[in-house]
Amino acid sequence: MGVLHPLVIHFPIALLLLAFFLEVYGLSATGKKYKASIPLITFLGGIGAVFSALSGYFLMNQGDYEDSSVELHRNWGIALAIGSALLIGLYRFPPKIPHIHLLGQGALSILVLVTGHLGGNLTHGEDFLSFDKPKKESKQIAFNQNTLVYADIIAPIFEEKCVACHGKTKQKGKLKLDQIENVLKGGKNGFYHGSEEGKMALMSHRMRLPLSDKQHMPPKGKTQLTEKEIVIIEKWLSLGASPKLLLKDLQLTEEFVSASNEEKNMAKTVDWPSVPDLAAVSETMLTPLRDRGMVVLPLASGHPLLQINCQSLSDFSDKDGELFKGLEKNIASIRLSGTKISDKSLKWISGLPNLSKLYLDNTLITDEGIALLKNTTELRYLNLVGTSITEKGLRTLSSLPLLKSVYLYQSEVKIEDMAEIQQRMPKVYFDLGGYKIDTLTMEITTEEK
Amino acid sequence: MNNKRLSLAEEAHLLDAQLATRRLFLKQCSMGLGALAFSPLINACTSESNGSSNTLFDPTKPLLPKTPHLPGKAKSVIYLHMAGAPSQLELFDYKPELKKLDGQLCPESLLKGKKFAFIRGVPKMLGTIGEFKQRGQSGAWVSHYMPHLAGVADELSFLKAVHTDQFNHAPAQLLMQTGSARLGRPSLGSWVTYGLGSENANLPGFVVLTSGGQNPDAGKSVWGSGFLPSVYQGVHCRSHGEPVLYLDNPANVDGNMRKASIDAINQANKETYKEFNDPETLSRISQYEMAFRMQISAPDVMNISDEPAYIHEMYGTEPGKESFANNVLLARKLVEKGVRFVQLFDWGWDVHGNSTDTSLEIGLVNKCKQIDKAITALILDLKQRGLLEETLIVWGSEFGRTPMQENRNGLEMPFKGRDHHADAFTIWMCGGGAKAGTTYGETDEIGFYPVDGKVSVYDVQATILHLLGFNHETFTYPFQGRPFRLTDVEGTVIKPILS
Repeated sequence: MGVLHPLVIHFPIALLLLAFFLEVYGLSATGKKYKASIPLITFLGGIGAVFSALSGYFLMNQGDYEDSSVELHRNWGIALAIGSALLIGLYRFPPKIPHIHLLGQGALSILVLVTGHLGGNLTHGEDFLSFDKPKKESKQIAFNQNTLVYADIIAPIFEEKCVACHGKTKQKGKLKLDQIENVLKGGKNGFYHGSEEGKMALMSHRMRLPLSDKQHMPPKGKTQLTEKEIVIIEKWLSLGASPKLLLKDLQLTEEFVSASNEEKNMAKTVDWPSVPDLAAVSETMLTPLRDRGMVVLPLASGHPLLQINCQSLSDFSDKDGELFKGLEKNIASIRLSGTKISDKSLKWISGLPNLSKLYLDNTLITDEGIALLKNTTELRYLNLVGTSITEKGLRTLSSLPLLKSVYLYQSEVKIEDMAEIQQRMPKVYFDLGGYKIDTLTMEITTEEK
Repeated sequence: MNNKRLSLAEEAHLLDAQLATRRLFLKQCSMGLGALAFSPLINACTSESNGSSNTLFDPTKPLLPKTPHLPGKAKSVIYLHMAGAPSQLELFDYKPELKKLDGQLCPESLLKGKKFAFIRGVPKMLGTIGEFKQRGQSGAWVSHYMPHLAGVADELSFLKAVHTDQFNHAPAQLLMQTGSARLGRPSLGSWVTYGLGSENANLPGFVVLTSGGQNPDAGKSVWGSGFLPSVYQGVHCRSHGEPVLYLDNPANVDGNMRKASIDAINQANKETYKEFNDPETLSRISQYEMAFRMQISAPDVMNISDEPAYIHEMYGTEPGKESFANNVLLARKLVEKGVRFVQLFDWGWDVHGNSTDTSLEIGLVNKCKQIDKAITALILDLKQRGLLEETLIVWGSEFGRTPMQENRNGLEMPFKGRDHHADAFTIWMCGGGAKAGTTYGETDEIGFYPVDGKVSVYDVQATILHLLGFNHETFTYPFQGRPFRLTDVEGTVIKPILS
């Protein structure tokens, strides 16, 4: 019976407001002819109101709603039901008072509007009908190991994805997630799932059910928790759900924490420099480069950083460096593989502050040129395959803090020098290549019979 | 209507006459106008919200390099598809428990409600024949079937619990490569070249190499372009002789003459385009131009015999013969030159055990010999050239093999073999942003069902697209009034294997 409430209420709202409208319209000459239908409409609306009140009463007793807020709606609803019954009576036995029906309909319409609004607040939330909703500022806190798990991470998640149904005004399944005490109390089935023995929080169980499961939370169709959110909530619950737990107590991997941060500061990846203030380049600025035959692309659509590929231009030489004027800050990757550049080009290359990837393979560059790279502090990847670089040139790379990998296949670097270089730059991966694969036969070991 | 039978000519005449009547005109209008009025409504739903996806295709420059949604780690893909389905239980999925059950009858509970391609009645369990060891620092299990690959196990990231819902080759291959078990969808390589274009204007963006023998059961649709413009379909190179035919000019025709004739053809095509406005005509024009440019660049790239001897030694290649190893070396050369997607198909992996070639003891050993060293060489070669970081290698098949021995028609088989198995099989990825030295997913004690880290074909596709910088959920193409995706309505990126 209770479930019918949201359905039934629409009849009295529409019918009673229509009756009032016709009553007003009836004052004019053209509207007179409709007056005869008003008693019937009022009668139907009144019955609807009584049914609504009844079904609402049952719904309230199911107890998903906070008492104080539902009380007001209940009282207005009862008043509406009684009022409409009285109004029906006024049509049947009209007293000799002028405009009594119009006044009655007006009063009833006010009842309808107030009751409806209060009911709407219950289902859709308090701020549902405010037009200039204050935009919720999502807190941009970078997580560190001492972040409070509940207050800084979980509470905002609950706030965003759960309290609409499990909060102050509405408590589906008698569960409230607005305060930590209420979280620990759990809903009508308690905090734990199954027996105490398993000690698994019911919430963890519900979150992990497949989406198609009726008991899955948040329900299908609502905003779902992300995998990360689930993991954090799960761990927090399994460790006793204390408000004092810090992020480090959850013993999540460093990677997990940094990945969460990454999601917060969009598009900040380890592969590329972070350039929050740089604007994207206009297409017209790139036309001369493209006309020259280079492949010039932003890292991602709308990204300010560019990757440039000159690989197919066998006539690309030192003087082509001028084409990049004005784009210095935007170049994050440049591929000059197999071009005719020499050490001179390293001059303009070293003036690229955000350069992260540099391909110089199969070019004429030497140690002298490489020494100029000292200031490209964002450099992570350096390809020197097929060049005449020696260990002397490599030494000069030690001032690059982020350097991750250097490829030296078919260069002049000798393997015996590498131990020392590696010691100077322990974090860098040097690949001298020249791998040989001995042809192996399958090492079949016959088992004892 | 009178009952007189009309002759064919009379009937045609009658129909013709009807066409001229007012009644028919009005009748057709009543429906036709409705349809006419409705069509912009349909378009309003699609083109407005997804207009951006349509602009990706520029018919005059279909392969122009393009930017993905996010900074991708991989720039190109080499997809090694072992058509026929190798046995994961012999190669990567170590199941000591299965060995103990060898020869016992399969319990009814496993067979209940299951359908197999060939197994009938109650089959026997078949213990793994592979000798497994944990390899490298990552401790990944690789068997003696792949002794070379075992040496680079730390570079690989294994997906041990992939599942599909097709247990026959053709539909399963289609599902793996096009995201649908039915014909008509674009292949993974087509999607990628459509979305990213190609960085080398002189070579096709999507190249397909098959190692002789049979083509995949699903036919050329596994590298087809489906509803995408046909310029994005895979260019299938010949496995024997010249990879691309007719690259040399015929006798007495020089480059200029060739250029002049192609210009003339294109001029005629442009006229046709003006008249009919079919974008496929533009595709055709760009293909002619591409073919002309390929005459200059392709012979060089496609020729593996120029590679130094130690590279041939490393890959185990024999130029001039049909072999998987040759294709692998060619794939490296193509990727080095900026080709976006190289799809390799190898054949003969369907180890049912009904002949020596399909036996686990002999056939599988020979197949592994053909690929093991070459793939290992590919990984190390890309690595030493500094290209492994941005080249994603995917090794896999359309499904796996059963832990039971096949008993085709209820009979005992002459050799050890396994039937098709859709519920759990192994795929590995390498380079291109896949996390080196990881193993994700686990199957039960006999390798029948996944117990942890179960991923679907769509998840694998979503992950490949993610590594290239696509959001697989917004990467769509409008067709038949709605935007289509490679992963349809499924797919989650497999985050644990991302570096």
